[in-house]
Amino acid sequence: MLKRHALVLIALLLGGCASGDRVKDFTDRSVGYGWLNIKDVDANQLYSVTIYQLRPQTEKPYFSTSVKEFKNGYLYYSNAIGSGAYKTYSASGQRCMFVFCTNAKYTYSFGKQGDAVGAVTVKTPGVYHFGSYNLREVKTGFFEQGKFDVVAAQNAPSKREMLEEILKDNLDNPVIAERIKQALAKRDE
Amino acid sequence: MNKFIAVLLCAALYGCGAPKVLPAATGPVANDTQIVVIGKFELVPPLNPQFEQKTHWNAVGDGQILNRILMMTGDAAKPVSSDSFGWGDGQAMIEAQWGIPFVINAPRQRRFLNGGMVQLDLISQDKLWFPGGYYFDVPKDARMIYIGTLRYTRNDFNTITKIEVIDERKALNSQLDAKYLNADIRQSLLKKVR
Repeated sequence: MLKRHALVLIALLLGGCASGDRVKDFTDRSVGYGWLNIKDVDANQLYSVTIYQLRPQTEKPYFSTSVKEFKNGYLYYSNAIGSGAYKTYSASGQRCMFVFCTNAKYTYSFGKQGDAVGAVTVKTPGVYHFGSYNLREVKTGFFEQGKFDVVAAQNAPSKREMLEEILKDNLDNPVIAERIKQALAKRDE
Repeated sequence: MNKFIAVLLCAALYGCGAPKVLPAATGPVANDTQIVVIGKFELVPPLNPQFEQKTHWNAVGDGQILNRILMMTGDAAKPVSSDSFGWGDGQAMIEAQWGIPFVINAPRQRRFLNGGMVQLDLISQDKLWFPGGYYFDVPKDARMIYIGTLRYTRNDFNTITKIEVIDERKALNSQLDAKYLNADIRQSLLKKVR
């Protein structure tokens, strides 16, 4: 009996933690996607990329994304962004060897200022590319905080390749799937 | 003994490198080494602390960051930015609320505004940076000077798109403390470093 109560309690707690505001209507939502190469930084596995909404201002400006290893880097995307100004805010990863990973968490923050890197303005529902970048560790002094550079990636997968990959995950979402298909069709024109 | 030396070293380093804010003026200055400086910083559109800044229940005193800018100043033009900011850059900062005139004591000499910073979140260390590249002179025999409003305009991504120096001397009287109303405040608007 006690075990059953404990299980119910755990399920409720996990449900509370896992749920954000789940989007059910994608009519006015867009896909925002990007790609990161992390070969030249300490982390060698990326598990999280966060997008930040600058405008309109909101009490819930952070969007988590789906992240997957893709073509020697990491593809990330959200299919739930509305109209406004968005920026890739941070990428977090670990250093792993096979299945063994260190405890250290590496977070690469792009900040909340600047429209040169990872920034898009969504005016109408569609598909938007945050950019494809290489991250590079910058040597700093012993007492200095770590720094990294962001450079436009020359050998990134094409937008077509990335969109086809994202489409595979969104076939059960007809609104988003159609958006991606239209974007792919435009690329063929 | 080693612990004592370590503590002493830390205290010495703190004394040398810790950020320092130029003190608020308590009245017109009557000496040869200091001057009272009156000015204002503005941001368009204004900072909205409710959405743009975050405080934490467990970060003591971090309410101090709300709607405030720290402007790095010095006796030489030395631009600061997120890439170049070091311990020595914050030795004479103007701490001011956006849109509210500040009245501070500063050394009686040409002073350069080298760049400003707004802390958005002390835990995540998110910041906004504002370009400097301006200076003010101190007229001979002046005890108080007005340097103008430094207005920054930003776009949706917090990129600064325009910087202006605006003379709001006429409107100043209604915003200043009564003790300054009859004071001799000389005009010395900010100039751009060429």
